[in-house]
Amino acid sequence: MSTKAALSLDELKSLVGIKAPKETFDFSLLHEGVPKGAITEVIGNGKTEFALALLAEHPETRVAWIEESLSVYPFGFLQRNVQLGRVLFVESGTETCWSALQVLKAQVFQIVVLYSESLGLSHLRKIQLAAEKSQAAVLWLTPESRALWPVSLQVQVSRNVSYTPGDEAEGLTGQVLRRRY
Amino acid sequence: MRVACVYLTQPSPAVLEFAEACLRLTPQVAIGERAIFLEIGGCEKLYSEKTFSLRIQALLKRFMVSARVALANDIPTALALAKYQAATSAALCREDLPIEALQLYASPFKQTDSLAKVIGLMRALGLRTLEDALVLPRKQLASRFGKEAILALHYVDFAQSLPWPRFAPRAKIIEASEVDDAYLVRELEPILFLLRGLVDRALLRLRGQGKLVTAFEVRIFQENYSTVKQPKRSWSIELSFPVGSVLSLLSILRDRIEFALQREPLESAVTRVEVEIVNSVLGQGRQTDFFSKKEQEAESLQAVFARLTERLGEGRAFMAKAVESYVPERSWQKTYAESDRLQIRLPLRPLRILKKPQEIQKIDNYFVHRNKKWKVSELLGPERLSGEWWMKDQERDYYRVKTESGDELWVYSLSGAQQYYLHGVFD
Repeated sequence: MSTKAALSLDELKSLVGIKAPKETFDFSLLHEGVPKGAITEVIGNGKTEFALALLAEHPETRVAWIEESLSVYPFGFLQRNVQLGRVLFVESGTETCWSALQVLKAQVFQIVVLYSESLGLSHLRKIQLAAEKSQAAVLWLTPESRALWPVSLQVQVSRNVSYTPGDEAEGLTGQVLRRRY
Repeated sequence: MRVACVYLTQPSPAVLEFAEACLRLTPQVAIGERAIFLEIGGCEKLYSEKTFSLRIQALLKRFMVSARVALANDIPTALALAKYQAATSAALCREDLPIEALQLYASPFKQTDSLAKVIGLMRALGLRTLEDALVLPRKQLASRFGKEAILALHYVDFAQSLPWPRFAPRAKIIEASEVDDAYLVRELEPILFLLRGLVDRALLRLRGQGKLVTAFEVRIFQENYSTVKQPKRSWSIELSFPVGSVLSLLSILRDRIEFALQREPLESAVTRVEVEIVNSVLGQGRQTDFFSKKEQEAESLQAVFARLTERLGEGRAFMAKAVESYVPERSWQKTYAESDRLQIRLPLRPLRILKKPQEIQKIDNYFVHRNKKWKVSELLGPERLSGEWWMKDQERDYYRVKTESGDELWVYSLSGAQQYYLHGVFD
């Protein structure tokens, strides 16, 4: 690639307005870490375990867990070494985007987990801007890949079939499908 | 004793409200006809006189009260200094006060002219200042000026012993604002602008009593034309957490009123806006820790809770705590406090649980549920769980089902029965 083309790409990126995340949460299941101030899309079997593993590795963080219809089982958090006292659960219904913006604006939560299939491009853009301002890491768990541009990192989680039940995180692998920074 | 006098340069309807807000600075407040007195001698460890002056000026601005402030060692002197200070550019002291100040020593809380005759006589004899009166020989006072003169100087000598009249804040806190017809207020933003000032003053008064708000009501009165169906619109708001911040309340109000006005716009211009504190609780007396942000974070968290609950509904934003029960759906509870103790050791639970277990068919080596089929690769269990006997729970045998597609299901059957139920998913 010529220098002229590389410069054009940088100019394009700055025009679009997505700033490269400077900091990440270290994560044993993801070599690159999870970027702060950006959205990470997580797909595949074991995505909730993946999110829990990140929370367990960062016990100092406060977390907001937002789902349209809450199906997450809080008791399972304790078994995965995630203290419930640091997690705010929100059943948002149709107000997932609004709820995410409120928790991000509060600047109290370092990690926000969203479980929603109905977030569109404009919603994600608003969430991405709010995340950038608050420097929170947003994990967006979806059943299938959406590959929308406000997402900075897209991770496919898969379960190692031969793992022994007991340490669920051990059986997971995260593969980066797309990175925009 | 150290007394601050807030002397009103213009009559104001917000005097009592302002006095209630001053309770935050000192518990000893008294109200005169045109002045408010605050005893701040006991607060010298909390703030200096300079800080106090700045805080009072800020409060005066917020209540839109025009006043002068003076400090002295007793009520009448503070009142006299505040009243007569503007007349001179130099800083006044007690001795420089004009002779007319004697009247204030006789009656600091109520304006009277009981000493008008005595003061007139003293003026006529060339006495100009309070100091001139104080140096007069006391034995000659009665013969020259009458017994009133002796009483007047007695008030000056014992000014510090003056009893304080009792002041108690009113039980109801209502702040209201009339709106000029010419402004034709019908939109959200100007209404919120008006509400901001009212909420601010209501919270200041509440804070004076050491309280935080837990429920309040907003009322908007429209011009009452014959076509207006609802001239009075009101919204009652109950908060999950006590709140003391104007911004938090305003953001909740914005959501509520915006939603209401979108569905049902105002039919005519607003004439009056009211805010009433319906319920409050004692706030914890605490000082901000300079070295940690804990209090700030706790307040931000509570504000988020309040907003989410207001918009989404009760119980939709919560924390969770573990409860000692073997029945999975009763093993946790919603809470608003932190609690993490896990008393019982159990096999790993799934992270996704259905609100209500659903029937799932087991046909040979397959599980079938709503057009979805899983081939079983491994069946782990059973784990037998039974609930509380008084709930008449049946025993359940739970299985962790590993499937060839990679999904892991958590299913159970009732003890002795063949029917299976899908209860959760290991995601």
